[in-house]
Amino acid sequence: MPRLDSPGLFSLTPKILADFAAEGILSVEDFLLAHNPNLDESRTEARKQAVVDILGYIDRQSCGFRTSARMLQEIEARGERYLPTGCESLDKLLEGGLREGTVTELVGGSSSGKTQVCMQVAASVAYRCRAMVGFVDTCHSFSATRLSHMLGGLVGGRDAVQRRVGAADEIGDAMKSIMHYSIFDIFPMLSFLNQLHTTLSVQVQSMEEKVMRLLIVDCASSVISPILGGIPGHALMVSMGIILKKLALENHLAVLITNHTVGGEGGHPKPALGETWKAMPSVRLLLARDFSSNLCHATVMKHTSMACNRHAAFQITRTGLRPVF
Amino acid sequence: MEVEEWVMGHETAQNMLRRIGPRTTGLAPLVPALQRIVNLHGRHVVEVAGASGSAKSEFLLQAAVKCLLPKQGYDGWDGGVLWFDLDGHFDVLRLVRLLQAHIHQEARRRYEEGNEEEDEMEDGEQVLETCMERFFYTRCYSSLEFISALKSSRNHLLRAQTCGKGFRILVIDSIAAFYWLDRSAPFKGGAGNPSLSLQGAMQAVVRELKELRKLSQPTGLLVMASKCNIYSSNFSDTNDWASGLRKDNRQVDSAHEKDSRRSGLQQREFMPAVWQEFITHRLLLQSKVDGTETLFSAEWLRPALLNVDEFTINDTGFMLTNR
Repeated sequence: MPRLDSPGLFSLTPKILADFAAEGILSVEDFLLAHNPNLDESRTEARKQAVVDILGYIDRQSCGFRTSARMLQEIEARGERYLPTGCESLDKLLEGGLREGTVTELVGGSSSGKTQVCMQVAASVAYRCRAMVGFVDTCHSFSATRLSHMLGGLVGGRDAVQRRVGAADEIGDAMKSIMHYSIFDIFPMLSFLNQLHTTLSVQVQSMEEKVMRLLIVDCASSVISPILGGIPGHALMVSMGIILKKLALENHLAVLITNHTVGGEGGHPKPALGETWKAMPSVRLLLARDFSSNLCHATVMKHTSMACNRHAAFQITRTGLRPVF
Repeated sequence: MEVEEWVMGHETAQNMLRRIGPRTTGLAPLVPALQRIVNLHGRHVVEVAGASGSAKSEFLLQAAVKCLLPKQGYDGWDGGVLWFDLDGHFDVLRLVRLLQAHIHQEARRRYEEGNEEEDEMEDGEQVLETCMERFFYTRCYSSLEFISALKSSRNHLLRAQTCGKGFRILVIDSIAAFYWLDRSAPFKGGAGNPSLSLQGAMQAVVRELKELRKLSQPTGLLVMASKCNIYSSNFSDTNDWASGLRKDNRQVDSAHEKDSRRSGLQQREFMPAVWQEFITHRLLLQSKVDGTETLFSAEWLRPALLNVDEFTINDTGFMLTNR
């Protein structure tokens, strides 16, 4: 928050600034938090004008209020809201796919298929929606070869012989729009996410360039759990949650993150990162692998606008996820 | 003279009721299923507490929808709603769906009573439009942004009042969103210096809310805030999604444990004192998974009513399940 003299408001003469400084108000932040009861019923005209100007400045800086009618118009103008996951049973479970503006969390024990789902979603969005995908890899589980198999499955044809002409180009194009980032620590992660937010906010969209519509963080809990414990750790976790939500809501991305499980009461696994993180994602899916039947089950644990505990199943094959109804 | 004045008092009880009666009585309950005894009006502050996924935002949304709808036929409050989204979970399509469900229900009721059929469609559209125009929404990503938004909402409040339809409800979802951020902010120290600590931020928020309430006389401004539990409870968490599988173990619990669980004592209070003193009503919501269904339960902690209501949720409101 800037100092009071930096916005260049005319009514903030040096005398008034000195007045404020005497009360301990040096910046806009101090003005907002000040508990001086005389601040609003001011003594002189000049001071009243200064207060009005500062309030006007604050008003301009804030996001402002929108009516729900306008929000609905904005959503309808944007059009397509659901990103296909590439697996029809998952799409059906989520009633369309990953929704723009939401954070979806995949929770599961190790080897339950979380990274496979992430790569399948990345392939599907890059190919079908012709959009950029950001894949943040914190646990070195991303494999470009596997991604190319999945894209091959989406493009069609079982192998190079059966594929139609130009399919290889399409696969190449899709792979070029998936950006891979390796980040292993919380501070580079926060810095990267903030930078992404700034870049996407100022980007001027041209017709030919692809726009980023999906961000995947696999696995979000591996950068957060080492620092959890005490107040600063929780604050960093909440900051990461806030920047992920900001990316989803302000930049119209769908954000997909993964989380591992820890032991809960009675031996049943529960999602890691605790109660505070539970409130962060809009949708939570629990993945479980049934090794005897080679099926993966996805259950909706939390959803902000749908009933929970609905179920879907899929199988992991060489060419990606195959829905099982 | 002073003693005589003091003994005579300022006004009789009848005069006082006549003065404030019209704005506090005669208001339909916002969420009828949960408000059979507790009546909310403009000078109250309600805190809805619960773990994640226990229908708190849903409660606030249902109350907001009821407030937007007109008095005639819908039993609504016919006022505006100010929604501060600190969580980022608001879905405008869900608001539209709820409004449409109420409008259709009313239209069906009118049709069954055999009244005018043709104007219903346009009436419904018009009602939807007016309701959507009265719902003001903003998103905040930090405590400072929240306080700035509260300060800049004063203008909106005054403008709406001059137009006739003032704001009746202010919703904050959820008040504890920046708890950890504010707690970790460095304390600048000094009695007179304002600082962005948890206490300082909450004090500023409460101050702004009181100011907004003062500006909304005579109808008053009902403040509703949801609060997500930051700390998990010490006893076995009834909001754990797999708890339905562990019902057999539950019978071994002692009566004392059952009681304290029901009265919500296990919920650790973490909000600063200035907020706790500001609220006048507290509602505790919990959810329980029972096979494939989710059941919700609500308990009023302040005023402390001893019964726990169980309900399910659909588009037209909360439905009490008979116990």
